[in-house]
Amino acid sequence: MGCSELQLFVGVDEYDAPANEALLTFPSDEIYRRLAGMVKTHFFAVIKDSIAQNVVVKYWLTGVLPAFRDGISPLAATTVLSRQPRFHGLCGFTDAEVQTIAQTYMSSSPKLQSYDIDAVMHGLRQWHNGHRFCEKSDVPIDSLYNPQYVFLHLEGLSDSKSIEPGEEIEAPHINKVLDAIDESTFPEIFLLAASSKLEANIHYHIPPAAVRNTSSMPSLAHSLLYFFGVLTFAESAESDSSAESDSDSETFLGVPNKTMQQIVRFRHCISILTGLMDIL
Amino acid sequence: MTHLQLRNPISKRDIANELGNVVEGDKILGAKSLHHLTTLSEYFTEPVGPGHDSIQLVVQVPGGECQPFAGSRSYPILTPSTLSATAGYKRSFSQILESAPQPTKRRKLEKLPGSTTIYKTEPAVDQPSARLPSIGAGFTDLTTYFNLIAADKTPYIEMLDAREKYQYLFLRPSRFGKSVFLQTLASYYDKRLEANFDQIFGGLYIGKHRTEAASKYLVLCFDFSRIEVLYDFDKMERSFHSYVHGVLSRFLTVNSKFLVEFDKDHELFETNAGKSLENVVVRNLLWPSRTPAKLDVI
Repeated sequence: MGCSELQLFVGVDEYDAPANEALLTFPSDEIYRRLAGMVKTHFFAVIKDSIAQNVVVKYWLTGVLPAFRDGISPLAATTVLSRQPRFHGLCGFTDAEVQTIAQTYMSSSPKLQSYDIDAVMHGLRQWHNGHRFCEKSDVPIDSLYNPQYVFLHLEGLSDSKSIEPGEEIEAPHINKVLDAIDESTFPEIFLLAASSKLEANIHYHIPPAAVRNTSSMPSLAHSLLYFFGVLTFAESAESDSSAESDSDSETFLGVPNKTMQQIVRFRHCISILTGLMDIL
Repeated sequence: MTHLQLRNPISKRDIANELGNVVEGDKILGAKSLHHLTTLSEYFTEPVGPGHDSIQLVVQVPGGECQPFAGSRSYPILTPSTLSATAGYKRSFSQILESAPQPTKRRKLEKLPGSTTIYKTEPAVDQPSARLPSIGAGFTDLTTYFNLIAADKTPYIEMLDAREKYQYLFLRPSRFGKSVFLQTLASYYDKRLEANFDQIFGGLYIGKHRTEAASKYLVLCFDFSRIEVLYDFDKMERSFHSYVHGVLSRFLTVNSKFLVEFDKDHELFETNAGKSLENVVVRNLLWPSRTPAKLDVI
């Protein structure tokens, strides 16, 4: 069998899950350093060789942070596709998609047939819409919904359960990153992001060690919150005005939706309570 | 067979009660078929037996062969609140992503009015209400279940395949559908599924806009969330090597008809993922008369 017939697609889901776990869970760098060395030598370096030899021709990795990529040299050749506006909607739902889903689901559910679609969409937008992952774009970008929470929200309505996404608010993956961020920055983040006035200075390259040492640079903390979906690019106030302002206009970060507001608000309260406890 | 063992400290009765189900008597009702889009909690509506400190679920791929999880993995003790989500999630990856999907009965898809991406699968007589994908639902689920509403993201495959070769990293927060899209790519490229291509993708955008890369490659997928991160590095290292070994072993088994003879016992190493991977993805595929990498003797 000729080698031309035997080429590979290699997929790596959650490429940085163990690295993030090591960085956000363990106090010393030792576990991360050894883990990164092991995965680099025994996995990513071998895949890189196979790409060079034309065996692996398509290589798709998913993850949350760019930090592990930046710390692993064999991954330097990968392109971060998720920042490109034309691929913005690859993961996530647009408002039009959610409207179709909600209408179809509600019309099919005996319990929801009497509900007003506009009211349901209003709730969905408030809780789950608002994610923008591209900083600037020549083409209009729809803000995105978190798909899983759209489904849970609609099922919650159908089952007459709470639609508040408590599970997400208490989710370990969010809380670990919040734990890693200097709590003194939260009041500022909360106040500024709530009004979408937090100037965006996202670090698209993050040294792994910086993931848990954000106190020296608030923009690093903002970047982590952006990658975890707690902050997002705010909708441009000039989006409907002339195009001349687009290229050089400042971009800001905001809180995408009520779910993430709850998360930030909860953490803000914790930091206030911690401060009070220290005083007492 | 995949055995998912839920250990004490919670009893089966506690789980069932916690999940809001009625527990009556001490009878064990026996085996029950599991459905992809049914959360685990829904299976605890029946009486469970006393005196057992574990529950064992045996999960079999619908219409496919039974395959174990990659390598050995011990699961954390689960609490009722994490039970259904964790179990569904791991089934999805083990059965669909890493081993690549098995051909299963696909449903007719209907694009919904006013949308180019949202579709609904054909209704079933006993399932009149539309359903939504549950946590952990995989790509296969999205086209095999009756009356399911889902999104067709396959137009992006056409855009990706504008390049014959690529190395892409896609970053998004949790639960945005990254894993499902990876599973979609895996099914699309998988040479093993060539005969089933129209059945799988016929109702989706890419089925009508097929690229040259469709059903062209062997597919090797990993899920790194399966790597245990432990303070005991030696244990973590063993877990990693074992995981990769399991994935490669299964890759060789399911793709055996495309590959030259491969001596798993001497070319896959449970303690050296790098050497095993090298033997599979470089030496085996490139050189039918290959020289496998050996473990260094210390």
